[in-house]
Amino acid sequence: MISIRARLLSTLLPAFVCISIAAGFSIYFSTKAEYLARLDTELANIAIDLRFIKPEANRDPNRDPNREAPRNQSNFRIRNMPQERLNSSRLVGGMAQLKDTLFTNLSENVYCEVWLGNRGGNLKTDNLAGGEITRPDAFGNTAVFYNTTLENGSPLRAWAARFPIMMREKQAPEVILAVDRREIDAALVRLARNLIGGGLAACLLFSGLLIFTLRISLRPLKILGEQAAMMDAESLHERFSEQSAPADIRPIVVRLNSLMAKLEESFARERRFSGDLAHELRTPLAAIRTTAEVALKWPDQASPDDFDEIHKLSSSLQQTLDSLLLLSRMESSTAEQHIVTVHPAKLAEECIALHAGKAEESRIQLHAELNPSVSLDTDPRLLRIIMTNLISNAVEYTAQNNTVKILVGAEDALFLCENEAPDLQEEDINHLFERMWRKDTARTESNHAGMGLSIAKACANALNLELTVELVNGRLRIALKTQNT
Amino acid sequence: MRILLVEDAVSLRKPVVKALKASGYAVDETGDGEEGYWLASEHEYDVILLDIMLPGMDGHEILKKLRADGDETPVLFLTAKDTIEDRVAGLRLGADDYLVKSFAIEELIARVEALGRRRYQKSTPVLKVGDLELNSSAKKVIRGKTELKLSAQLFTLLEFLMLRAGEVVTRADIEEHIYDEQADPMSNVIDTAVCALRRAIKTPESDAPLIHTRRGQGYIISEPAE
Repeated sequence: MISIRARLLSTLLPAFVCISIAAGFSIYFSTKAEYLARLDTELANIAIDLRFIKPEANRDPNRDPNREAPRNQSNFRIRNMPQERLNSSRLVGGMAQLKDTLFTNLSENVYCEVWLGNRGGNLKTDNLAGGEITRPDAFGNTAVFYNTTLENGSPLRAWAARFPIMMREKQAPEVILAVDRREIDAALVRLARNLIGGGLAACLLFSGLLIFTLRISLRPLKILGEQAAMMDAESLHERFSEQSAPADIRPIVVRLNSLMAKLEESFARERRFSGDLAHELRTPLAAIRTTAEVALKWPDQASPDDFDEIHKLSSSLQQTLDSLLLLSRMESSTAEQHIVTVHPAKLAEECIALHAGKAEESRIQLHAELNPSVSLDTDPRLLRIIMTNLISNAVEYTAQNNTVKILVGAEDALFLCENEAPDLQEEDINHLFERMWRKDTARTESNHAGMGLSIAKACANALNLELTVELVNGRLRIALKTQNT
Repeated sequence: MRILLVEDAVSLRKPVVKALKASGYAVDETGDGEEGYWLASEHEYDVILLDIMLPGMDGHEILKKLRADGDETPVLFLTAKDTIEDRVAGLRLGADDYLVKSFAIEELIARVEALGRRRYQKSTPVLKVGDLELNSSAKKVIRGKTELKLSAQLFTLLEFLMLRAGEVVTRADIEEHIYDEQADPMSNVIDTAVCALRRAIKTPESDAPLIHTRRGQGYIISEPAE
């Protein structure tokens, strides 16, 4: 699983790089467009100037020097130039004069080429030096701007259009004006270099900033992770700090703390269980072993009672182990079930009969109210285990001269067992179904290892029945109910 | 030596008591924590064997109270709880040893002996007074080159006197350490036992008296004066 930091970096950094590149391109091309627009404006202005060029006084003595050329009568020199003159051999000199007139005021970096049309020849500025500016695909009255390159490799920005003037039968002259683009190209190269350099620097800076910000922002998560890594079975009582957690991860911290509480409770239960199990198994085992060793080492100390003790202890051990095995089978749902129609009253009668002797011995009254009409489809074997364990538990822990109440089909329960439990507290109720839980924490020798109610609960679960427990006025009521009761 | 065993499982307590008594110890026993604390406070035991899970008052609580009372009697925890945490908790409270159930009875007796020796600041199980040598582990008594056969009770009495060799041991001390609660304090059982012990440690090769009576005070075991 990729880390949040890596994910954010792998998303934000390329996004920033893309945005930077787009911004760089945008700046570059807008600047380029601006430069070209400036050039185009310059070329257009030159074209206007060229169109309205004034005749020089020394070349036209008849012209009134004070008379301004009307705007609509521009380049009159070309307009008034006789056709014969333009076509005659004398035109060589005339062309030179025209060229001189046209191009004198042009600055040196301006290239100009004029086609007079219909074999009228063309004029070009000296800086073209025999070369030609590439003509546009088509000439029109509307000016076109385009980039071109001279034969010597000089990049040019060109303006081309027909001058809207009539030269008798001739076509209007086609004019190409061009200026050198090298300065702009150099500026654009500098700009591109700056943009690339600046972009790289910005990317690096942004990366650093991003890493730093992510580190700062994700620190609470890192701390949380470190705290979680340090948690083990010994530190389950510790909790993650909810106060210092940022609002974004506070729900996670709250959930983690809740899980920790559950884990702590489970571990405590398991620890209690393993301690209780150790006690339940080791104490009788130690007694058997010690009794046997003493009898072997000091035979004169041995008596038949020792064998009786060993027999009782081994039976008790076997009962505990059988209970554990049964519980394990119930909990892992590996027990096979044989579902038949069962009358709980009949089963309860059998179970009561099993415990009648013990109850009588302890002077406990078993009060039964068994409704024979109740029936259900279930596994009678598991139902018998539930009833036996509940009755056995009640008889074991009820004080002398008290009553154990056993009901079938009464109130809202399928089966109910109620007995006096003056020692039990409300907080003990949560532990009643825990494996090997006993109110007597000293676990003084008893016929009960504390497995009965756990087994009953596991059997009820296996049968999709519910076992509920409540303490009412010092009487413990354990009821077996159907899930939808 | 006198031992107190506080263990609520009767089935285990009975054989342990038997084994300890057979090894020559005087043993008082109870299955209740509060009674155990009362016995430990009222009598001077050489070693106390304590279960942890006890009704009334648990083993940890008993030990804590004893140490708070200034009672430094060696305590051995005898319990089913075997985790490191349980052992550490017990030892931190001031227990001297920890034995997890189930155990070999020989091991329990060996540990009790070791704790008893520690109480009298003896690091070796072999005690010597003159030419009399007692090995408390091997349960052997040798005088000169002769191995003596002593009953468990006489062995315990001799061991008790030799552990405190050179010191006057009062009758009350002997009664407190050698005899359990069932002994009749009004009887002359101690004088009789000491007399029997004097006879028992005499050999044809070596009959110099080692146990001397200090009138009105008690008994002392020491090398015979030259």
